[in-house]
Amino acid sequence: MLGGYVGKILRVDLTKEAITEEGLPSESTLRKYLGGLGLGLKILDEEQPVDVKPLDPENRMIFLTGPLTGTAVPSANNLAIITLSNETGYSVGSSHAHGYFAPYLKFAGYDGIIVKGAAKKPVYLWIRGGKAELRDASHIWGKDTHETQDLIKDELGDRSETSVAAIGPAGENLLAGGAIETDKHHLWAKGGVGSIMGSKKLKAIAVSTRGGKGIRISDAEGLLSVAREWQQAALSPPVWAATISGPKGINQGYWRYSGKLKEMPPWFRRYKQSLLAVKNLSDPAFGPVWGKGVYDEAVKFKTKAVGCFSCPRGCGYTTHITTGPYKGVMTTLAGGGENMEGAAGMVGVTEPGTNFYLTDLYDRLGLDSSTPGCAISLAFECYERGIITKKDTEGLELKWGNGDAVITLLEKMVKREGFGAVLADGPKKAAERIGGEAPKYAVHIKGTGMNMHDWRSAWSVMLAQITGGASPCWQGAGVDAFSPEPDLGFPNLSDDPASAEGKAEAVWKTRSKKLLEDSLGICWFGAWGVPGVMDFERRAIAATVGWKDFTVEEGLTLGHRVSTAQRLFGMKRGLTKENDLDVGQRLLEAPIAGLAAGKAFGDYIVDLIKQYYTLEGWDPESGRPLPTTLKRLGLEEMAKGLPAD
Amino acid sequence: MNKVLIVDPSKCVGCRLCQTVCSMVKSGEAGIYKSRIKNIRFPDDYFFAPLVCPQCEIPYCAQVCPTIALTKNPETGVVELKKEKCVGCKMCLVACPFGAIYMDGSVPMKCDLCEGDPMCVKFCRSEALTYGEPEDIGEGKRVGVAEKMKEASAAPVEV
Repeated sequence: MLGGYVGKILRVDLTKEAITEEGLPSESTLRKYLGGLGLGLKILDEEQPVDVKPLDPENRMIFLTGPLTGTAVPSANNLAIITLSNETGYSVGSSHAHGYFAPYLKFAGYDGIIVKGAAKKPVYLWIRGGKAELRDASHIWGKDTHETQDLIKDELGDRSETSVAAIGPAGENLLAGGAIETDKHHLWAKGGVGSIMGSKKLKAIAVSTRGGKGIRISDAEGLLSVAREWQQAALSPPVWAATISGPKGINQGYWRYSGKLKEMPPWFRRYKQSLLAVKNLSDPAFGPVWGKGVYDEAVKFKTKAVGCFSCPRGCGYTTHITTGPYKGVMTTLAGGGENMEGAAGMVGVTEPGTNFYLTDLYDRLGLDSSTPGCAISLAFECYERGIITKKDTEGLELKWGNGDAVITLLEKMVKREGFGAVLADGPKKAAERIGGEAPKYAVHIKGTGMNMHDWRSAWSVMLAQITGGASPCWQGAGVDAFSPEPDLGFPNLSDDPASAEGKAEAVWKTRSKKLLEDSLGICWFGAWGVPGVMDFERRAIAATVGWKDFTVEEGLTLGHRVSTAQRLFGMKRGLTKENDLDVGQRLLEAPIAGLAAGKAFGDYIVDLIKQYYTLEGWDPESGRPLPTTLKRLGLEEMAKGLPAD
Repeated sequence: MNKVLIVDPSKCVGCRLCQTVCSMVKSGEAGIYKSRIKNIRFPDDYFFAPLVCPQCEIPYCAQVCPTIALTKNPETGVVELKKEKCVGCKMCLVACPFGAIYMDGSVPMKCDLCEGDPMCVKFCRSEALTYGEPEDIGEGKRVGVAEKMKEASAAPVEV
């Protein structure tokens, strides 16, 4: 019997209102794909016909933990949602979030849930102690993500031991960027998963620890030993050391960076100088101005750290805004700055409290802030340039900094009303609908948003967002921004982030590590840049599951396997190299200021993609995985059904 | 006096690592169910209380035990359970004012301080759990208050 895995999957057919259980795939399949993204993709590819569209009832949502979820390793708390992405329509959607939901699901008796079909009326799913049932959610439909979590917990009579994953009005109304929130701070924001869930009329999933059971561990002593070492190592990298308030203390909130630091670490300097995404990326020099203005005020707000299950870091935070028009409001955010850049930086909002308020509003609506945020910031730039006027915007003045207009626009987008309908399906479609010069200014990759920083100054991340097999997300980051990867031979941040040299290799290598980690059931923040982490992961797998001969090589091969498997999945649904080149002009042009001033990523994109394809073992022209690659990775079966060469 | 497990709930972030590792070291499984330390949670108020046997000087659990299965070890200070004497009457669960002793199948389970090297303390990142002398309990609070007094009474210094 394998440790780590519970051994059961819950199957929910919403059309038939039927819930069944089944076992996990064979041990050899588990060893090849582990869990999370790897295993989810394998199951989705096998089961789902290629002509199924994202919002069709037949599009499965596979909620999967990994073998390390619920153990004592750092941040052993990831739940992956694997589905056909609603952001692109052809790639796999790979969405991740943390908090407590994932370990609680395992305690409740399931490694994962596979949801298919669509309910006739809104429902929510309740799981605890080996039991699951669908309950009426008609009275909750329309409520925001926070209210939904509270209402369901009260209805079930348990605020303390229940975790709820909920959609908000955005997902209900099938917006591009629809997201799912859990435990108030954590969102599955990529892949459009909130709208897929909305199309199924599934309002929420509630999971309780009551009546549950622990997880069998093959070698508990061995796991404790590696978990302890891993935890110590996880606190050492510069990207994390800066966020920790004391020698042993949990991170006291992202916004304490500038307040507590005596010396700015290199990654933070680079970030503030050139990577902040502001004003639809039209004015990079404004980035540091925006950043300083918000940060300097935000350190005065009352911030408290919020942790996830088994996390030594605690990147979540509650913030009481103490100045400005939103004084007195409490916001519940998490992670880095992407969400705030998407919600507020990209429209040039400088009022610090408003930055927090808008970011929190996206969370409450159940909405990723990059895809819709880029549609809104496009509208602002078009307004500033006179391409659209008050006539088009129903009287709204879309001038940089107008946070109130963002709130009104979001309301209209959720209702798909008036100008909101123009913006509700992402930045590329919005540009096409606005017409004229608008497509020149749309910030998008494959028509959708990305992790919202200005990657024109970090070319490995730009390449990673462009070539990532799921809709643009953190699939391999290279080493240009935030963190090096010592275990992969990158002990330092790159010297020249806005250059082409070595970037394809950096993406290819860091991608294999990341996709392995996405299949382990852990949060990336416990593994990113952590020295020795590859060996910790190997030892943790061995001690948890019992595969004593698991190697680092095997793990990285798994990562490469998942990367090629994502390519196959997409190609069967129409993905070609043209889609990899589908990048907004603004991203390909040289920025006018910053680290990359005068350097255009667009001059190198074709060559970089070719280099990347070659490294993956795909045809350099088409990106089609070569037969030798398929054989090496054991993907020949999955490649059947590829369109003819 | 013997060292004790010191709990500061104001520092607990609710990560439940203490429960996970206690469960692993005592029962080989990961989870909250076999843990000797509980975490009572108010997530919407962001307040989490680690709750564990305080190894009472005069333990009620030992007083009510009909078979003297529970005794305070004079050397280690641990209130120990001899399983072979236990008849599973559960009176110790009823008697404990903190609810800090629980059933594990047919016998009770409680904290035994891991032979003087508590695992939960090793993993706690926020210093909500420490292992120290009883006289140190509250020291952090006393110093914190004193520092505030110091700030409030700072006299202007002539340069």
